[in-house]
Amino acid sequence: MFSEPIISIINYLLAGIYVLSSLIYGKHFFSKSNSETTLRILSFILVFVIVLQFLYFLIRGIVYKHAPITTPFEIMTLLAFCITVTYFIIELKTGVTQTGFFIISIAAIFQIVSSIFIEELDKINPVLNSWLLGFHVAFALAGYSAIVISGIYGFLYLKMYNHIKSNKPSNFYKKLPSLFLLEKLAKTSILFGFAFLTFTIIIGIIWLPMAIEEFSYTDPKLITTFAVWIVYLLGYISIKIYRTESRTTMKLALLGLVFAVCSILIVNFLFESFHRFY
Amino acid sequence: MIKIPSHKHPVIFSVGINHKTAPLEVREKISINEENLPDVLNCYKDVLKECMIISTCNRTEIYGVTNGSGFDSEYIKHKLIEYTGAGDTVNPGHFYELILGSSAAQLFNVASSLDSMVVGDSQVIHQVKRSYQVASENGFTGKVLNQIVQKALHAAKKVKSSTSLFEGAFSISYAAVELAAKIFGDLKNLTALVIGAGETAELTLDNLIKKNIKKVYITNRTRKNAEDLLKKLNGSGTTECEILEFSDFKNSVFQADIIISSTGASNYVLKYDEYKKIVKKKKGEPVLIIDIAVPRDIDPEIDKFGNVFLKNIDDLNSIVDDNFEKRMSVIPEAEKIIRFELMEFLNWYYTIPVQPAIQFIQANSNGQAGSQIKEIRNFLTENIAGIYNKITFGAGSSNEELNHYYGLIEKLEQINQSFNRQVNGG
Repeated sequence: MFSEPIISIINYLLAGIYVLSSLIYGKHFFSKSNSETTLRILSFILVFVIVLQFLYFLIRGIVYKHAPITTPFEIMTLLAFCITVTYFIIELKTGVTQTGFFIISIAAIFQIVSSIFIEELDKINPVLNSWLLGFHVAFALAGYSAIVISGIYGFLYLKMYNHIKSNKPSNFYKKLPSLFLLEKLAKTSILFGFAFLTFTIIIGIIWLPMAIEEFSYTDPKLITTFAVWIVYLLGYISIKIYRTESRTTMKLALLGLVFAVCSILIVNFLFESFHRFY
Repeated sequence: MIKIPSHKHPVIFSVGINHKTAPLEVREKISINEENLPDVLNCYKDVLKECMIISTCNRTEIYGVTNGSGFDSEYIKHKLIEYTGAGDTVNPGHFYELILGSSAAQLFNVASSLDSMVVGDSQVIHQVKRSYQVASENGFTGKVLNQIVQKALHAAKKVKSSTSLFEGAFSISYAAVELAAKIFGDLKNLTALVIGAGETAELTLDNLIKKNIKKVYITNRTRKNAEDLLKKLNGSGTTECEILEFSDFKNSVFQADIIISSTGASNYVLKYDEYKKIVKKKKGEPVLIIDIAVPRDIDPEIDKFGNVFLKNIDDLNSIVDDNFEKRMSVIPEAEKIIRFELMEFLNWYYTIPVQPAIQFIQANSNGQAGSQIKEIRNFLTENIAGIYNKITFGAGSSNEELNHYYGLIEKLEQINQSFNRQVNGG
């Protein structure tokens, strides 16, 4: 009875907390001094937002009896969650807090759009009950989170590189971690993104023809996912085989992110696809 | 252009090129190695009474005292350009020129590091001291330079001990290691190549070893200097150190992630075409090359390789300076100290023409003599304050300063003559 208002409150609360944490991460990056209090607040907020969002998915799952993968806006909140959790792990492992602003801000954008437009469908497509779909979506989200993170670290690498090359004493130079670490994080994310997208495509190819009668290999969503995968395959080859200069790989990571975001937006909102369940 | 006609009273001046008047490309052409300083000083022995040259990465400045036979600053510049063979790059317009109080203030600011590209660079005190020693050992200093350098160094030491201007100050060695950390993060698995065995190379090497760099190659034209440098290091911890023959070091360049070069060579030690072959062996791995030599050791074209970060002394100065604002805040405090010491020097300097009289008065001290000295002192105190303000606020030209100086001396001599007449009953 009270569950829907609670879901709605948490939905907007999540958007607010994402905005707040982006602002605090921004202050942490742009201010001249780093206070211990800010760092403590950031750690608390990050854990709080992850726990709250997990509870949100749990309550939604109990109330609506499906995973949050039925509409683009459910996917967006899930993507925000995946990005935040991945960033949290990176922050824990590296101790680097200065890149938070750039990553949490992107997660915040996904969450805000989701919070504004999310709504429950009257009828859920039975296809969405498949367990294979669960894996398919989970891998796709993990892959796209890795793509977002690799793109952001690629961008930060290029900023840092330019500041060092051109001798500009800037906040980027002072606050960002070493080029080596930015490169490592971007490259690791590219490799994870590539691996997860590969699994997504493999599971999709196994599951989609079985689950959907009107399955077609010319579906725009399939084509764009495959195109994104090709971009990351090139990234993988450039890193592992050709040992391309880091700057080129980082440009590829950034281009990959732009390409992935644009193609997903265009395909989801402009094209009709069998690969749509709402 | 400063032209001083023949005058019995010597005038102190400074002529030079520094980071405010010319970029590194120009400065490096006119810089002079310590071993060549006596030769350059010799070029001026006929026209100057006293002379010293401060040549560092930020400046090549000549401080001198005229010998009374007339002075032309253009001659000083042309001799320097001629000696260094820098005529293609350097022209007289790159020089600044100052006389009297302004030149004294310049030396005080240089010694206290207020005129450094990075304020608070403590190495400059040592460099001024060393320049003075070379001039002194070769017989180019006299009472004016002795006094001014002593006062300038005293002021610098006072600034160092009484203010925080030199605290946490930028140094090339610090900047080099800081920049390496910004590129590579951890230095534990890196290899450095140090070309040259000078003081800055030693400090940088010391800092790299403190960061537990894996391996260091040292090479120097004179192998013994490299060996001495290795001995000087306070234990190399986990770092493996090896000396390379200077003739062979290019074969090992590809192994280095960090290259620090600080030789006194007049040509590039590492050229673009040579590095082109090396960069292929690096397989895209980043390389930080720090060229702290003036003139530069490394061909600047090498910076065009994407994964090469080539930094010269100006680049390092502009990119790494964490304590800039903190040090800027204590400048007024430092200026106060310099003002006091500079006024003391000017008081002494302006009484040079009447020094024999003052000494005579002091030796034959009586009430009348005491009041005479007091009159001179009061007269000077009033005028020196005015001179200082003019120097500080940059008012007036060198000619005005010179005329003011001659006017002052004339008045001092008049005071002195009137006293002599009273003593002699004239």
